[in-house]
Order: sequence, then structure tokens, then C-alpha cells
Amino acid sequence: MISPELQEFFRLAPIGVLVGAYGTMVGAGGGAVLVPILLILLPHETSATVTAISLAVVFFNAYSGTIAYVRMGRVDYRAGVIFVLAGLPGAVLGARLVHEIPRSLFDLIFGVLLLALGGFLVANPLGSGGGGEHASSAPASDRRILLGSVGSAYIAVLSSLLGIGGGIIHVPFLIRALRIPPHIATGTSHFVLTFMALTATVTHVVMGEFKRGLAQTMYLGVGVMMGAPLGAALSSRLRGSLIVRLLALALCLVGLRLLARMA
Amino acid sequence: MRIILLIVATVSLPLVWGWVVHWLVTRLWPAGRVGPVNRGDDAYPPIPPITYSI
Repeated sequence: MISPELQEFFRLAPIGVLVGAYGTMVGAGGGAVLVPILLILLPHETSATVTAISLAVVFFNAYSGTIAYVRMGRVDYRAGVIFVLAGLPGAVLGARLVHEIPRSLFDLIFGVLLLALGGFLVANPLGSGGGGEHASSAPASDRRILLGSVGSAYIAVLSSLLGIGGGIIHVPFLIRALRIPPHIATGTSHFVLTFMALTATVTHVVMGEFKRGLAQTMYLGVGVMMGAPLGAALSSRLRGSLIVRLLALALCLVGLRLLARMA
Repeated sequence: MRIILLIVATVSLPLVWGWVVHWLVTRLWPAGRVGPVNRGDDAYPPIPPITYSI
């Protein structure tokens, strides 16, 4: 006779492996695909609990994936530190703003925006003149890093409003606006995501939103920590345009979820 | 009034903070001193061989 806890583990851990592999492969935390799955699998949990579980799992995924990317030498530490420091206050500002914006208006505007952005990236993943295997090996200039610092602050506000880690927005920004090669952008984004997701998770713990969902978080966490190195290894075998297209699918998924919430 | 203040804060605070962080870190950590990726390196590693693409 299998205990309910073991049944729950066998139900959630494989999902964690897939989420960890996909998220790390594209430089995101996996929350964009994990939240809809959790809303189906855990129908009795509040959206706050589901978001808290998702962000904690994103942290485990990002931490494990970052270790793999560090070993591969694919993290731009200097840019990553700047993006983390720029993004942390933005996440707090976004969490404050979420109570001020009418939900229906927010869901409509950002649902359409994310769908449009996702569609654009699927059609034109790397833009003209750079990216992928033709990207320069020189690091981004300080002017582009300034753009990245300001952009990361805004992305952190938006991600906090959306209740996601932000990787699915950050990676295309690093590739398209800063011309960072996709394989460095995914590693650096994961590095940033580790600290952003940790901050969000600690915030949720302090707010008491882990009174329920701790066991599910652990089961998913075991899965993503196994899946993340797999995703990092797969990412090395993918063309940059494919990474961006896979990530664009997650953007479209978040956009659809926002629009569906209005219905 | 409150909405206007919120909009101004949302637009301006990330801009100012992002600039401050960039200014501070680039002064303390000049490009090439430790390297952008690995210690001692000043360039990104080469793109790995591609297996899967569309």
C-alpha cells in the first residue's frame, strides 16, 4: 500500500523534472508552465499558495541550473550582479503595485502584450544582425549594460506584478536589446533568477503563505533539481533561435492565462 | 492624485535605481578586471556545437 505522501511525490516529482529541464534550457525558472499545471493539480489551493509554491520551485530550479551554467562558464557575473541589484527593489515595487491596479485591466493589457511579444519572437527570434552562432564573443559594452540595468529594474516590476520569476521576459531582452549571445543570456538570466526567486520566496514565507504547500514544494523541488542540469546540457546543443522560440511559447502561455482569467 | 503619484513612481524609480546601480558597480568592478564570465577571461566562451535547430 503506497502512502498518500509517496503517491503525491510520484505525481509531482516527474513534473518537476520536466519543468526544471525546460526552464533551465531556455533560461527561465519554469513558473510560466508550472502555475497552470498547479492550478489544475491543486484545485483546492489559493492562487497565493500556488504562486508561493511556484516561486520556491523556481528558486530551486534557478539555483541548480546556475551551478550547471557556472561549470560551463556561461554566466556573465558582472552583468548578472548589476541586473540582480537593479531588479530587487523593482520586485518589491511590483508587489506593492499589484494591489493598486484593477485586475481585469491589467490582465487584458498584459495578456495581449505578452501574446504579441511571444508571437513576434517566434517569427523573428534573434532579430537582424546578431545573436546565435553569429554573436560577438566580446562582452556587452557598459552602455548596453546600463540599458540592461534599467531594463532589469522595469522587468522586475512587471514580473512581480505577473507573479513570475521574470526569466521569460529577461532572456529575450538580453538577447535582442543587449546583443548578448543566447547561450550566455540563458546562463546569466538563471543567475539573476536565483536571487530574485529567493527574495520572493522569503517574502512569501514571512507573509505566512507556506502554511500550506510545503510538501508539494519539496516534491517539485526534488524534481527540478534533477531536471535543471539536464536542461543546461540540452541547452548547449540548441541553436539560439530555437531557445528563443521555446521561450516565446512560455510567453504566449502566460498571456493566454491572463486573458483566460478575464473570461 | 494617488494614481498620478503611482504612475510617476513606477516610471521613474526603476530608471533612477537602474542608473545608480550601474554607476556604482561599474566603478567598483571595471570591465576586464575579473572578467565577464570566468576569472581571467575577458570574452565570452565560443558558441557550443549545435545539434538541434529549427
